Amino acid sequence: MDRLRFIGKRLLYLVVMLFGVATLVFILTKLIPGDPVTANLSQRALSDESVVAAYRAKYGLDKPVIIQYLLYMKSLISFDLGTSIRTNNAVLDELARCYPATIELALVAIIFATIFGIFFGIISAVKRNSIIDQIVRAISVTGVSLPSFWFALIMLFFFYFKLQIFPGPGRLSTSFSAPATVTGMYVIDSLLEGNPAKALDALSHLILPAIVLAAFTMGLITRTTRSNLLDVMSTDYIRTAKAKGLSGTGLILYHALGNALIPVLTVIGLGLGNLLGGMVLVETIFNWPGVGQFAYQSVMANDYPSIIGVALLIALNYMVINTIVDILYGIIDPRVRVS
Amino acid sequence: MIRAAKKLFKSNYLFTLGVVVCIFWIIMAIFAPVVAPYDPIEQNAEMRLEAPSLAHLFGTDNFGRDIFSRVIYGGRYSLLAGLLTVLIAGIIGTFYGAIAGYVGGKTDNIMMRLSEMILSFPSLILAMIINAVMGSNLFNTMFALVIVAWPTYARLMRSVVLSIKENEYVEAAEVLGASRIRILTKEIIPNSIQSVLIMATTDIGNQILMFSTLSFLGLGSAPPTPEWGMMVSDGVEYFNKFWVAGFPGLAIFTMAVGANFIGDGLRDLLDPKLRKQF
Repeated sequence: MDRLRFIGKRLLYLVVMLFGVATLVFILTKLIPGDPVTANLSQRALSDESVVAAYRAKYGLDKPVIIQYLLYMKSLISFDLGTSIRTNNAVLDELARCYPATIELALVAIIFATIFGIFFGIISAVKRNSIIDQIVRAISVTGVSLPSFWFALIMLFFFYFKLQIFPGPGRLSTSFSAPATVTGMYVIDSLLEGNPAKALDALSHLILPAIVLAAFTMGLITRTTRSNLLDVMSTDYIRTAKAKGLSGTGLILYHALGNALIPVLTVIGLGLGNLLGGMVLVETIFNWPGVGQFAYQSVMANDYPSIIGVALLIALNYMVINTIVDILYGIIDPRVRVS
Repeated sequence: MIRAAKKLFKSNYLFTLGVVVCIFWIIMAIFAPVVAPYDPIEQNAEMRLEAPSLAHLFGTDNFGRDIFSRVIYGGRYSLLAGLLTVLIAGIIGTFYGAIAGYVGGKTDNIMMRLSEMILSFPSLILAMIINAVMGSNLFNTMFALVIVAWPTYARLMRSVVLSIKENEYVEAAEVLGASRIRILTKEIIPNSIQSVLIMATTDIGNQILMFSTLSFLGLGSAPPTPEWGMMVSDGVEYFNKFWVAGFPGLAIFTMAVGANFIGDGLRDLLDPKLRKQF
């Protein structure tokens, strides 16, 4: 019962926040200088008074701001994000097209970041203050300080241009055609098609952009794992375990790590949210047809309906991930619920 | 304090390295006209895309400009943007968070929900939107960075104030009849500012990164300003001429890493819980 109430409260909070973000986006669009009419209609249509009036009436632009706000909220509730000015397609369709590519990349990146982050964090904590610790800390700070657009170029220069280990930008080599869309993730779709060679090619295209994306989050996960593991290692129950004669790897893996990783969960969740934001650069440089590239192209073309769509989608993602992490946290660590 | 600082320099090489790197860039930025061998915006059509040599240490770009000189001058913009953003966002966030935490109740709730709305936006995209809306120049870029950065300070400050305000000296001031504003500015903020300062140090690195990211995307100052992020984006086209994007990017990276090393070291020094492990 207690747990259900906690989850219910979190979900209610999510709805309230979504509402707030949608409002914030609306205010931003009202601050944008320039008339949507001039942006959307052609010169000839603009010279015809009746067309302009009809356009204003159609989108409710002749009504007071508060009514416009209510209309905007109404269309959001019915999942109508309007039409992209740049491509003339429904924004929702555009986002549905881009989203799987982004998710595929984000998942691979977060897997890289988690595995290496936790591994480095453990090494660093166990060999505290040793030269290894200093090196690992240097790596993690490096990960947080790398300008991802530059890192992406460097990786492409070495691993694609010079050494030719990994393929260049894009999702597939030109010798393959895109697999039939089931999930929209090329690796999975290629496997479903029964074409392992294509799946392998798609996977190899994922590696470089995923490494670039993962660098920042990996740094954060390393730091969090290190400091939490150190905290846990100085608690009474670990001292008891040590007094019982346990030591070394077993002590850390079976007793300490479980508790130390709980806060890491939050960082992974936040990291996944941030990854979706960091997509803009990586997708632009690696020519990855995902939400980030779409966001960049929309901002450059002043395509406001699309920008609003992207902003809402990413904020929604971020908040849903946070809510899931909060709920998981409450289940794993009951103390969170009490407070 | 001085002894602790000495110990920090001796035991934490990364901190020392960070200080050295940052001082280096500050000196370069101040003395740019003396250090730089060429004019950073002077074009030379005969010297396009020259590889690094003794005459041009970092080579030349597609307009024949000396990249070494441009990198030296570029430090001015990045340092200025990083420091000013952190300063302004820090001040706004500190007061906002202190008020929310001290007043509490409904005010706190509303104020914090407001800042969370900004936080739930991906910061880069929000900054991009603001910049696109306002038009891109140096001032607007910094404005966008401040809008995106302050809520983090507000959240940190609030959490610190929540614990500080339970202290007896705050109660004593209340009993003595001090006004809320006085308590806030004389008791609470001075006692909670330390964590904000630590965060600010690390954040300078982040803001330098954000600033160069925006100008990489073409949302910063206009060409031919020798701004690091923009210089890297020039290099995207000349992908196989590594020096065009390589050196400006290296400059951003070293400055961000330096600021982060310092921030890390300070956190270890000032946070007693961590000092124990140090």
